[in-house]
Amino acid sequence: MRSSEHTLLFAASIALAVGVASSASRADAPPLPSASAAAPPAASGSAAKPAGSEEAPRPKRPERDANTCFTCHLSLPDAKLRKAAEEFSHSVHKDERIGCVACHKGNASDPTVQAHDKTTGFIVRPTHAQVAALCGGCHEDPTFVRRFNARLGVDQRKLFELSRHGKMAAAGDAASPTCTNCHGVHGILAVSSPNAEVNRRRVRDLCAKCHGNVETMKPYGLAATQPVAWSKSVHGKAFHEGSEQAPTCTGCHSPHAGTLPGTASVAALCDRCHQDERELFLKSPHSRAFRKLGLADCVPCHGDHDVTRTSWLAGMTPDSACAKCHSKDDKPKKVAEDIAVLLEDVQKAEHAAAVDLAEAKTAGLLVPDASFAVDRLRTAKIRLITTVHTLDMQQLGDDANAAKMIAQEARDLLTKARRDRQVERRGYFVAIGLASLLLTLLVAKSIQLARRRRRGES
Amino acid sequence: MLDDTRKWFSDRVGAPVLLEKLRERRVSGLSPTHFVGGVLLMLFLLEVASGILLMLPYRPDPQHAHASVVAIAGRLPYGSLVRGVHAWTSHMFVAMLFVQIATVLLNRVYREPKELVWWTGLLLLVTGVSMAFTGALLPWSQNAYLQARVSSEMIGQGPIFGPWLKRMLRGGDDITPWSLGHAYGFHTGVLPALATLLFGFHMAVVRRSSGGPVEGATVPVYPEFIVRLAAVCTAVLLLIVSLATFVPVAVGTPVNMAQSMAPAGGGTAPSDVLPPWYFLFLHDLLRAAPPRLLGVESAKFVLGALSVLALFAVALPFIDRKGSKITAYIGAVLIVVFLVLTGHAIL
Amino acid sequence: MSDEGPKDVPGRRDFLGTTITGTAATLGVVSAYPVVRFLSPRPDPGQRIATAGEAEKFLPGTSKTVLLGDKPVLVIRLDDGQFRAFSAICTHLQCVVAYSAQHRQIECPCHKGVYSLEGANVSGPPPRPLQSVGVEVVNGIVTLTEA
Repeated sequence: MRSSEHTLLFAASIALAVGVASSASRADAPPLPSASAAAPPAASGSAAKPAGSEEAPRPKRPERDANTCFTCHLSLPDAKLRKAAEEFSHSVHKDERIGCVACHKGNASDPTVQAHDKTTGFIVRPTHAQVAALCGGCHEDPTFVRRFNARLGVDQRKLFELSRHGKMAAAGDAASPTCTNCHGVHGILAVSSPNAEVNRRRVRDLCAKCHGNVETMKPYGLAATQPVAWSKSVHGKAFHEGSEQAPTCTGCHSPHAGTLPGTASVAALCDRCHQDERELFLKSPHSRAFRKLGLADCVPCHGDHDVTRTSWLAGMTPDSACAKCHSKDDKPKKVAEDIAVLLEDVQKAEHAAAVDLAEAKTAGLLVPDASFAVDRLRTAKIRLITTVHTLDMQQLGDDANAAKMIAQEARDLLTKARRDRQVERRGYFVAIGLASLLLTLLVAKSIQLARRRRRGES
Repeated sequence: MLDDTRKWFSDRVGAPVLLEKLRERRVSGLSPTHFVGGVLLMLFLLEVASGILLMLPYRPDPQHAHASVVAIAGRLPYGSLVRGVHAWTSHMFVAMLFVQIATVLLNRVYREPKELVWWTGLLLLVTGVSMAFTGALLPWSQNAYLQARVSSEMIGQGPIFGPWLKRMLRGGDDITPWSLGHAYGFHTGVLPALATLLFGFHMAVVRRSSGGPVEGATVPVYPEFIVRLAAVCTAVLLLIVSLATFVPVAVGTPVNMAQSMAPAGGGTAPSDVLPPWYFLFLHDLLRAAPPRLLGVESAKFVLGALSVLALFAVALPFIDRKGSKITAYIGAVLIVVFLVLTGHAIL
Repeated sequence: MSDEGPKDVPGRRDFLGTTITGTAATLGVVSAYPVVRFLSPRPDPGQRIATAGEAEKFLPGTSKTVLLGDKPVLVIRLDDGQFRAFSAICTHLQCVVAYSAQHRQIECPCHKGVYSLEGANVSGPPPRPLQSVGVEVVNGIVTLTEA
């Protein structure tokens, strides 16, 4: 009974697998067996690029043939041999009808196991060093690539070779990452796929596999702290809160050209989002001093991976940014402390006004003027934080005073709104007086009636 | 002149006949049920009057509901007073209903021939709580929305009819923009009509069934009892108007469903939201209970126990026929439990 | 209440009864006042309309910030005389944006967010365009209506 059940199940699953495989092959796989149609242009290395020529149509459907690398491998009993086909079935290459032979070569028109014959140029497993060239074979050809995605760049391999990753690979470091380490092997997905490890939302974890591992990084003399530092940074926090703009690793490090931003160009990197800050910073005395000292513009105060809001930490407390360098000279120390006081004052004023406004609104007061004043106060506060980059005390003082005036305005408007509401209450005292009088009279009356009743009863 | 006018008027109304009748009728001069009953009636009328006023500028659609409440509270002359009176009266109404049920229970005024008085009273309690509950959602503020979610979720844990009741209260599976129209219809149409019918019937059967001898000192209904009642009602009014003037009822912030779905994103976690005070005892019980009681999910268990208690309350006139006062003691214990739990949850 | 009981102390009884009636009546009138006021509200309790002055005096290439309800609105008169109006709140960190006559664009002072004169976020951190507000000239007055 039981064994027959098993047999049935097994037969059914085989039938299903074959069915799925054959139907899949009918839909997507036809180009696979045709080596000539889907052969990557660089496969031959010659000028003859049947698929890559200007007028080449999309690979045509050859004769329907259920017996392809894919269908065969999918039905193999050995899980190890099946795995590649299974992973491939989800990949972007399968979606775009780029078949096995594109990478593995071999004779795809031979439906037998002879297709794997080495003489046909079949590659069992491309070596670490071969991979970049293999991928580049297609991905460097604009006319080939544009048939699938006209916007896709064709410079990945060149950039990769310029990068430290690429140089390590070229030097024969088998532990260094090549294309497949990040993109996967058979199951390569489009960057836009949420399941792709290189997708923006997942790429930090991908990088952290190596760059977050102390043991892996030790031979290269690198720290493995960056992924964690980033997660705690303003960027990481914004990212984890779902921001679509917060930069993750690839936001600052070009994904293929893994060159480091470098001291001199950090500002040019941060500048892509924080334009205003850079402009203001260039006016400050720090700008020139940092250049002289060989310090990266933004990094001394803000850090790199662990970017925190140092402007909230201005001052001379031990964890403040200023205290990192300024400990002896009195003048900068005073400036730092003054800035801290200014910022704190304005922040407190803004916070107090916002709370005050929220309370008034919750209590049902309509206070558009005060609400606008708080909007302007918030603007002034943020503006002040930005202006800190100039270290221009005159400007900062003026801005802070302007902010405080707006705070006062908001306070006055709210006080006035509350007082107006109070006026309505004046009538209350009339009503309450009358009601109290009525209550007293009624009590007196009931006492009188009770007394009279008792007298009548006795 | 004043007397002439009065005579002219009362001759046509037939007031002297009615007054003579009331003069002859005597009631216990200190019976709390009569006073609370009178106060309840006054509160109900005040609720209807202020409710009708609020209905005029209120816009019962999700897009405009909160803005219209903000306009009522902030822009309309005396809007915040009218709104305050309506809100505080509703709290007072529910509180007085509880007081009434408690005194009736302790004095055992549910026994023959007062069964109908007791049952209509119980129905009035349910109607009153439902009115307060549906009304609380109408400002369509974030807090009201979360409160309604929490309370209806608790009701949904009830046996047999629980899930159905929850769906009916919500007007669907969850609190959605549809729930607002649902709550509005119930709050301004169905429930007040039901309450009016119940009040009428309740008072009719109170009159009918109160023929027996009255214990203690009695007073004529008119003028003495009416004057006393008027004094009590004036005192309650004073309290309500003072509260409405000096303790403004918050309008809150407009509903933001996205925020309430994801408490991790800085929104208010549903567990931080307390239901309205008359459901606090339940909330407290559910929070204190272990996850499972006697093999049942504790929420279901607690609600089940409460339902049994409600059935017991309905059947009370039949159970408590003899002279035993045991039910009164049970009632007293329950009232103390309710007060302690509510107090604990508030503090 | 005047015709009640034995007439032993008529003066005092009458006085009390009449005072009660009088006080209750006065209280009734006093309470009616807020009700009447509530029923005859100030004009436009919830209307979403605002004005930005006379069109004549609104020079091309200038701007104004006015409140529409409780929302600040930036009204711009383009060089060709057309009016445009947008919510004046930046979509980045809710700062108050301003029209830059020099660059013919809308700028946020906080982080240099730039919007086009169509309200589109063209550079800097703003994630979304500015909310557009209806604007038209009615009887020579620049009138704003919430879209």
